[in-house]
Amino acid sequence: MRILVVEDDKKIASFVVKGLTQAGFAVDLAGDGEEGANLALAVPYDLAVVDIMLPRLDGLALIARLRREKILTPVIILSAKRSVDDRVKGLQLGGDDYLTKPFSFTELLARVHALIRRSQHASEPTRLTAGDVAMDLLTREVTRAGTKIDLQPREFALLEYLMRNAGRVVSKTMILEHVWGYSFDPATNVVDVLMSRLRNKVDRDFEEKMIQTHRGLGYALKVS
Amino acid sequence: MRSKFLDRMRRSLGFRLAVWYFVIFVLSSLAVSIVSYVFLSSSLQDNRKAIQAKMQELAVVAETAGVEGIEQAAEIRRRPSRRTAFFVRIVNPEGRGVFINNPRLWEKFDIDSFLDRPAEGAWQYVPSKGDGDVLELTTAKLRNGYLLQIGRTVEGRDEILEDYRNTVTGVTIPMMLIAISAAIFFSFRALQPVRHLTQTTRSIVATGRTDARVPESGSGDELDELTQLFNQMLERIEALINGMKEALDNVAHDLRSPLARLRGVAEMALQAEAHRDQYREALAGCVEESDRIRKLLDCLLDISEAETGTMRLQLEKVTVSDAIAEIVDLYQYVAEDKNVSISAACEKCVVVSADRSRFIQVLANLLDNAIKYSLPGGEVFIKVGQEDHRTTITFEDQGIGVAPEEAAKIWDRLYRGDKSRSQPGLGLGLSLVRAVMHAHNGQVEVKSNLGRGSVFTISFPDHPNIG
Repeated sequence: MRILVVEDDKKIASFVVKGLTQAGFAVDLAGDGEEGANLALAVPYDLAVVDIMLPRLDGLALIARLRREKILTPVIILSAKRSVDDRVKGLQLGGDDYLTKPFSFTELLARVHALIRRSQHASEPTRLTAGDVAMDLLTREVTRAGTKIDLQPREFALLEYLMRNAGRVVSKTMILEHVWGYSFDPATNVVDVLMSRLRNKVDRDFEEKMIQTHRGLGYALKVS
Repeated sequence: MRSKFLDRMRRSLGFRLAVWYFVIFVLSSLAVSIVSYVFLSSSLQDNRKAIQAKMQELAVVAETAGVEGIEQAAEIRRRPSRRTAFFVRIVNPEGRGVFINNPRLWEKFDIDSFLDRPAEGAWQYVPSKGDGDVLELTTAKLRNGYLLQIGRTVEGRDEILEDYRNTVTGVTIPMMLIAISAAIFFSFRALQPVRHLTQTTRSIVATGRTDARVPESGSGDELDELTQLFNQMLERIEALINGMKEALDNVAHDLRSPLARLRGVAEMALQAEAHRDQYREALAGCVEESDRIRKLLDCLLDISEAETGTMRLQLEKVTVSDAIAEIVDLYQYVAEDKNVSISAACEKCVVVSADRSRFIQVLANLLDNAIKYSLPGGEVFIKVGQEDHRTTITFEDQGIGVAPEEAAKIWDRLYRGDKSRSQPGLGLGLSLVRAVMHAHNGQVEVKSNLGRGSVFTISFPDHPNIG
């Protein structure tokens, strides 16, 4: 998997490149929009991460150019502007996802995975497994080590999201977005509450705890 | 420099008005002068017609009665006056005057000077030797070779015309001076409000201070109206700018404490020779704190945008019962955890015009608040009502309540009551509720009994065009 990162802020670029490389991607970095466009036109990337405010050619123009040239590489837009208008404009021009700075790398990584999965048109599985946890998406049955676990709809949705991203950390923001479809932060941490309920059902009676808390980052489901 | 000044003068509206006024004034007075000169001069022309009439009359007399007849007809016996009398002279073919009527009347004129060159049919002028009078005369040839000359004084005709010319010329210069000063005065006065406007605007542009105001003349004319509107506009701009400045100050101030905490955590970890786990702990603390800062920043910006009216609201019809069902779903586990029950009573059909996600956020914040301050075993009631063209949504809890002296302050940014400090939260929830509701032209209200619970009410005005 090859990813193009177009970002002029050296510090942000370096941690994004480092993080993506550690996650097993081959990463190319472009320091301005022109260079980014040239690279994207020459190399068939699986994904591009593009900052909006770029020297020489801004991110939105870069995306528009790629789409004009019929290059459909999925693009994640990074922006320091948080206004809804910019978000809408970015997505209209052909961006596939949008992250506002400051963003957490965990979140970027999860979005990268989601987009790559989507662009590969991976066939929808009907059954998810992680460790000894198994989830049937059709019958909505969940078992752990063969024992049936009864889950409420939101608990099910949360576990499904964790299982789809098994082994990767997902942030609270992403959970809110995927389980409830909200993009704002409720003051009381509803995610924590739901997570502790899920833990009670999935982990309480077992020696091995599947759901792990990564302080400051989010939660992850253990793979093995 | 000089040409620049002239160029500026030429483009100045006041200068152009003055020039136009001056030109029109001078042209019209010139026209009046010329017309009256022409009239005056043509009325003086009547003299010649009278002379010609006399000439015809005497020519007939000469035909019938000869020179003697003329002598008789021309002699004026009763109080001859130079002003009214005709000068009549007969000259024989040898060029000698044989008759002059009333010679005493004409002795001042050098009447013999042109005997040798009588110009038949032409007009001749004989100046007086004493005063400036002129004798205007014409000559006709009689049948017998005699010449008949008839004339009359012009009563200073040319003098009158010249006097007139002199007067006009003499008046013209003061008149022009008056015209110039009047033009300058009027354009100065008329453009006074415009100049004030320019001065004020220039001072605002130069200093960036928006507290300057244009003096209003109070005359109620168009320029005064413009001035008043201009001042009102400045008033609004100033209010907006102050609002934004204040918001910026607040945001900067509110960010200091979490930034200090962030720095503190990092600094402590750097100072001590610590274990790997402690470093991890400190780093996690930094990440959490920076997340808090980001949330705080987002929330403060939302509040500022809503308060200053720059928040973009995508208004649509939102069914209140659906929105309430969503947030009850969001908070059901939180409420269950705290052993608080939520009951919502809402008719299906109630619709408000609102930005959907902002509306949900408002409801979520209020429900969050109600659950947070409920006591275990308590109940939260959500009710929707419609009265007086308003839709109201109330959140009633049986929690700790708000002291009356605190009731007004709970909407303030970062205000946290004594009892709420132990609860997690940014202290911005209710401020955001109020700001977003105001942005929707809605209202917020709280009624509370300390220790017995609170009732939070938000209300939307009904839009007759929606629904």
